Amino acid sequence: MTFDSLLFLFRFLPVFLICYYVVPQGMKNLVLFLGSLVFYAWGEPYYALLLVFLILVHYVLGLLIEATHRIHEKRAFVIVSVLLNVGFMLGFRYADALIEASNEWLGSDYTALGLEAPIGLMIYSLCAISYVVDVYRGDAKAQHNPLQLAVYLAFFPRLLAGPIDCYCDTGRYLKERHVDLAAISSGLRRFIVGLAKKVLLADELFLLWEECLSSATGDVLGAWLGIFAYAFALYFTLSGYSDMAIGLGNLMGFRFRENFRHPYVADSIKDFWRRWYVSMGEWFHSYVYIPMGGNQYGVIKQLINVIFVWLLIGFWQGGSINLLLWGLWYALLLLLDKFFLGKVMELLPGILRQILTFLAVLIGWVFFAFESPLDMLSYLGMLFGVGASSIAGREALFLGREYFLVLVIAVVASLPLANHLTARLSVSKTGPAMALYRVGEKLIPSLLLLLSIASIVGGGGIHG
Amino acid sequence: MDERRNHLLTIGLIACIFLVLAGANLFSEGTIDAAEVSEDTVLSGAFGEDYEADLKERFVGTEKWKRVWNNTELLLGKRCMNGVYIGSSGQLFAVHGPSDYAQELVDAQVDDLKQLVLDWDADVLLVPTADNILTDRLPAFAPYYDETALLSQVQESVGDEHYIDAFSILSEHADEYIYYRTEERITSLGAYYAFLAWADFEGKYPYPYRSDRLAVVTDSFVGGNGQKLGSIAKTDSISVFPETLQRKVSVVTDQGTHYDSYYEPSAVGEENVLDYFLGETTAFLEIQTDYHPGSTLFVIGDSTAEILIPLLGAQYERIYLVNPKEYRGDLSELLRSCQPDTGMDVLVLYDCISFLNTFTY
Repeated sequence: MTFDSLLFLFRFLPVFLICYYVVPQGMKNLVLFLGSLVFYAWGEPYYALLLVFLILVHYVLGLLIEATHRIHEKRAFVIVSVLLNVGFMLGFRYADALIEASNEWLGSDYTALGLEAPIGLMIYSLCAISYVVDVYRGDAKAQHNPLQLAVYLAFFPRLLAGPIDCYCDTGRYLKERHVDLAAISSGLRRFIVGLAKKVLLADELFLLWEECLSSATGDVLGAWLGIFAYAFALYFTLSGYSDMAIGLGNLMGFRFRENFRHPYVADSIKDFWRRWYVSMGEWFHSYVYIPMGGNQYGVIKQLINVIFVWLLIGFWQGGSINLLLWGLWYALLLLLDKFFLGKVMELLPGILRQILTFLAVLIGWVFFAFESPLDMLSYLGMLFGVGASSIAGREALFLGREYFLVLVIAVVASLPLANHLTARLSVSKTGPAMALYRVGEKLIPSLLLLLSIASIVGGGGIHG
Repeated sequence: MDERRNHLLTIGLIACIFLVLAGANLFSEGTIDAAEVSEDTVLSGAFGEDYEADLKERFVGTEKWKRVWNNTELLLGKRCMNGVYIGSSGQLFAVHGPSDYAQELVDAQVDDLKQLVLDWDADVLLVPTADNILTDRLPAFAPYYDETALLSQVQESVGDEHYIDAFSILSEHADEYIYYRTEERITSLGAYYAFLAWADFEGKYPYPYRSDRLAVVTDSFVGGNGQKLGSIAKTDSISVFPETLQRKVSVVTDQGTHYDSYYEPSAVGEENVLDYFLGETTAFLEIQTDYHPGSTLFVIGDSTAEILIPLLGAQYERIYLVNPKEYRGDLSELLRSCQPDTGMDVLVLYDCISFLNTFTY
């Protein structure tokens, strides 16, 4: 089940919210956990058992870490958690590849398991590790109520694309939460904005990307158009899901930090990663980079740490060669930025810095998009005219014309303009500006919701 | 307005949309067969996908939502939806992908055609698709398959003495109503111009049809391309030459169905209105006319042929039509069995894309 499916919007969500609001405070966690299990089990029933298993294991590990005073025992329990979570990720991703390799090289005759990584595994594994590490560090107390830990790990709004909230941040909402009208109102609006981002923009842009690939335009314009569409499609998918998660969280009294802060206006790669999937960046910084020593032990060690962390992020994203290369690309850019490029960039005007950063990010998305290194190289070449059939073919011109307005809307929507405008209008207490704000905050989400439904029901896009 | 009332209004408005639609959809009729719901389908997740598709299918006001979305896309400047280009003057064009006209496919089809022409001294009339004739109505930069290369290859392969050029005459009349707006087919008027090209090529005196006196059968035809776009498509008219309505003919299909006209009026108002021409598409049919005793025409073709045959009827006593896409037997055997002692004309009659995708010999 996904947030942009009719099942979620018109079956699950209304029923879940009604149940959630009518039950007494003491029962809300139970409703939330059961709702999360239903959400999770729909489509992947077996994998719900894996989630329950991990909840139980981490509940016990948390208690064990708290109970022991021996540091090496505490560490051992943390290592168990890390091995377990990484083991599952490895298992789901590489089991079939290992079986194939074994059959080919060792002559064995095992049948491929056909495993696919469960939805949410990447998210709740990191949350589970954050829980035991926070308890180990003393940043949080072990959770004695298994239901509260279950709510933290299985929390359905963030299972699709985060935010990856650390236990030390979210723990305070687990026992009791209060929802007021302002939170419900902003939560609904935020959810709809996220839905519209995903359905009205991301899905359209993914179609453009697919058309650029399938029409095999083979020209420079088509290649740039395609990767531009892909970049914005990814952004609106992930930030859309994050908005929906934050909005749903608000509806239940949770407060999550922003996960995307207009990343395509970043003026350096470092700035980009402060804006793109912030919770993921912070998680790897807090739970991997800093424990490894960060930049505390000299340049060489820092270099190794940065490369390791980015390889790990590539692995976490999917683990294929192209994703590891994508991780290395950012490791390289960040190191260059730190030791050399950053100083040069500072000499350039802001807009040029933003354009150059965006170009570097676009090239990164080519690594991200193509699993086959040959396809990746061929596409990269095409961007710069190597192996391209022409500068601008008929197909590319048509697609550019066809999606021109969608692209313009996507660019505008990725800028902080709406935030600035809303902030300016909302500070007015009286007068036409306030009236405009009041009407807009009701009509715009309603219109976006209706258009999103029209797209889901009437469009041929990629929903559900 | 105080904050509290303001929040309540926002929540009320959005909650209303959710709850009204959720409530309305609770009572819509499902189409998932209970037999499809099994432990396997549920545990594998397949049921979840079917259920979502079912919800989408029966969502309250599906057609209205589709109209809203199609209009939104039009407003956004989209001119290609659901595999259809939306051209100027409401002209719709099917989008053909590169796989429809890959060079290997072209070579194979042209080789088969050449063999048929050699074996049966057949003539070939390929009608270009609308995008090649009404090119100026295509959306700006819309890619389309330029059929002139295919037609040149066909002409070169079968020889000038077997190739009937319909492209030129249709291009000359491109500003007339020669293609349906909502369907990838020529109209009766388009068929008339192809008929003139055929008569000119064969050196026959064409039956003097009056192209200014077409009889309208329906004004509310929405073809396949139009159906893909729903209500944003304009409607078409289907017209026929009155002379073809008046002369008595006998049409017998391989299914044993018998008509005494080229046209099947009951098809008007049905899903496939173009079945009006020679009834429901069948593998093989035989037409008996009271013209030109002793002359026989064997047509190998598709639905374009069905539109043109009523005009050819005035030139032959007997016409056979085989649609290789539907015909499962040996085409050579069929040709032999139909050939009278006095011989017969053989005509390959397709639109270009159907020729590439359905012609077999």
